[in-house]
Amino acid sequence: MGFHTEGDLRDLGKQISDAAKKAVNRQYPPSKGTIDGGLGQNVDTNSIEHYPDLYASFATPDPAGMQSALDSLATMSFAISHKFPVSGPVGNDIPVPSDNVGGWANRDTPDTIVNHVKDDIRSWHGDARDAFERTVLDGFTETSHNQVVAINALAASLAMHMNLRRKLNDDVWTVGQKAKDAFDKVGGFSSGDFQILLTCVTAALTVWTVWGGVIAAEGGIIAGLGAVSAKDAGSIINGFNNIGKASSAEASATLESGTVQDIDASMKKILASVAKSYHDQEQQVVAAMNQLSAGMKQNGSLFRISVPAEVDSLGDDNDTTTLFPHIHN
Amino acid sequence: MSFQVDLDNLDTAARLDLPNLAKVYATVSNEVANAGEIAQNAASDPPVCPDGAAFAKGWMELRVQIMNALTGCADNATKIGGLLAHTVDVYAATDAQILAHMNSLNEKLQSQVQG
Repeated sequence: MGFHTEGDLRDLGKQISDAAKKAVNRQYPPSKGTIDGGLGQNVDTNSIEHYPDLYASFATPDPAGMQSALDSLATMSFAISHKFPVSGPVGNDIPVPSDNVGGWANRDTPDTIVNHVKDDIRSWHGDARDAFERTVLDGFTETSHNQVVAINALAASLAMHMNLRRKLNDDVWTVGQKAKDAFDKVGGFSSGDFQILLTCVTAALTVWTVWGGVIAAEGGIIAGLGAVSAKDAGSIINGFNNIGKASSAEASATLESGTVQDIDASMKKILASVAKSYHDQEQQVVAAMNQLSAGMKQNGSLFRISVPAEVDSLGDDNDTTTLFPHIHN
Repeated sequence: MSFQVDLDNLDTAARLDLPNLAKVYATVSNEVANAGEIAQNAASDPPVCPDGAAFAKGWMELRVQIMNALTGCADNATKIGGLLAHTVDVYAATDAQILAHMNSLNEKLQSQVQG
């Protein structure tokens, strides 16, 4: 299903409004001596007039506009690890990044470069060398692995958000089409299928099922956080794993047909359910991201190698006695 | 293995590998920064459920944390490369001094022998 702009949604709302007005006239045929068949007290005509605004209120920019960022993040994940986080196509029209990693396939990863350095210093012996390998070189390796986990989580969060918007747009359009169809059939003899599959309900979970499996396979956020207490690390991974699972929203709904009032009330109820489902899932994604951000702030050494203060102060002093005392022995 | 060969390897680490490592981190950090181009799109909540652009804010913050980590690694790889390069230079200078001293001694010995 293509993405529908605000203009498209507003037009749809206008079509539904027109269909509803005609349905009102069929449901309450104007009788002799009356103008509106006495419908004023029975139908919320003002609400019907605002169907264009109602449908337009679900409008967002096309999430396809964020695809380039998703592609870029996946490429950067590859640049560090030479592994592609997720490749498509994946079922349910899940947003996946392009697998065009450009020249990064031919460039060394940090791990490879660190191994070059280890090879370079193989003839250097002593405590200073051991400390250098353990705290610096191995530190680059560990932090780069954790960086990949974080980049993949950032990309996955974006993919979940894109899918939420896409499925919100799809569901609202489907509800609108069904509602128009239902109004068209008011007072008629034929019935219709007014069951609606609400894809927005599982939009975020569907994406995380794919991305989360990749992140877990790469050592997982728990492993990547290393020395962080099991509770903190577990809460971060749980924050992502629980996205979409706690929702009580139904994945399908049936639009009530029959009278204009029934359709109006049912349509609004389903639209409200879709909006709530979108909002709740987005809040879960936000909470998971915020928890990871806080974890990165609190445990910066797991994601960024630090250097001894003496390195920072080396500057013009040319003082290597502290770090490499054996040079001067 | 001569000491000169060891210095060459250390020099490779200092002036080639570690700067290359820094460049990888810096480039990746820049690309993560560029992903922020989605800010306006991400921040445009549907009016039916305005969230104060909560997703965009949270995503940008996580992106900043990642950028900080990558940039920090780039900076520190550069610093460590600089430290090693200085170490190499110190060793080489000492080595050169010793070599000059040895050459001087050798010349004196030669002259004594010939004398």
